[in-house]
Amino acid sequence: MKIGAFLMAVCALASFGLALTNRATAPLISEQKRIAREMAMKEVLPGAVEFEDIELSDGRLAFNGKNSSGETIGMATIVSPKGYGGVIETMVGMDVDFKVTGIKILNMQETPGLGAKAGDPAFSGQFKGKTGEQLYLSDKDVKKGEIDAITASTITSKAVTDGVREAVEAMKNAE
Amino acid sequence: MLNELTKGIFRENPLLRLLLGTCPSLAVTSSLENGFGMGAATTFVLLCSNAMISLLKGIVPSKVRIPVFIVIIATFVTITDLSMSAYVPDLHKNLGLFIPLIVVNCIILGRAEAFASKNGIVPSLLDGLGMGIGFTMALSLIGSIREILGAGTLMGASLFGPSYQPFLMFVLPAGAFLTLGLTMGVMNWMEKRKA
Repeated sequence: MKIGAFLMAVCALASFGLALTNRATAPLISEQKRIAREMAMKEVLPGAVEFEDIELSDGRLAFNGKNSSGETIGMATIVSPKGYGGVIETMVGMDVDFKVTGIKILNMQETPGLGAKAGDPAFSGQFKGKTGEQLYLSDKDVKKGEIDAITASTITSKAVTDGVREAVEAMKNAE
Repeated sequence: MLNELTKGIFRENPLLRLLLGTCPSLAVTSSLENGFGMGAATTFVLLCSNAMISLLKGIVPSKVRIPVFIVIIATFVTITDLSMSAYVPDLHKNLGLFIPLIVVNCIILGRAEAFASKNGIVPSLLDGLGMGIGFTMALSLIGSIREILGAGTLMGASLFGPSYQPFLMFVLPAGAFLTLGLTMGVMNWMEKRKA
């Protein structure tokens, strides 16, 4: 009985300490997440200054980007294709004609030095200006596209390319 | 007294001599920054838990001491996790899963059980600090070796210029085992020569 009460007191104190920490850090953490998301959005949609959340008919979250005079210049969404080491969370931006304006990898567990190069401009920069039909690998896919795969990382390259294409198709179909 | 501080750095280095906490050590030491960050986070938890457990010495019923220690450690780990996520989000993202896993890092429970629960607060703090420094130094050393060989960089800055072909294996898991093993070998060799 005494032991149980002691354990309960320890846990109550611990919970109290955690509640205080959570109260102090929760706003900071959500602010950091918001900043990171907004930086990614600005990167994939250059020129956009204001973003508006939209929900597509398939439940996917996306957002419209507007320039300083309030016109919609494009939209972006997040896809999570399966790579070599797990899902590759990628933000894809495109203009109103569904031409890719930029991609940014938000989260991945690809092999350092190999698949992780997907985040380098040498690979991810290739997507800029491409349309849906061009979004295939140039030598590995049956349907020839215009994306050059990363050497020794075909799975990662294919996952990202398929993911970007999926994002473009999803936005097209949502209209 | 000073001995409590210095023993953890070399003679009883938790990673390289006591072989505690090898799992996170293998996983996070792909670069100096990650190794150092993990070491610093562990040191913070170690200091707090050692202090708290030393203060509770004599009050904690011995039957439930392990659950009590774990609750205390888990609380400090969660505080560290939340604070890192709020103030150093990039490092937090890199260390990912390994921050919550500090809870089960045997260095912390090991020091609580073997030292802090039997000693006063000042020696316990010194012990925690020394062990933490030793662990951080070992992780930083392994992280540096792996980053220099495996990526040709240190703290993200290129060392050998663009023509250097990185020894990729060293940032992969196999390189972690090799580096840890060789570092321990060097420590043993130094110890033998001294004797």
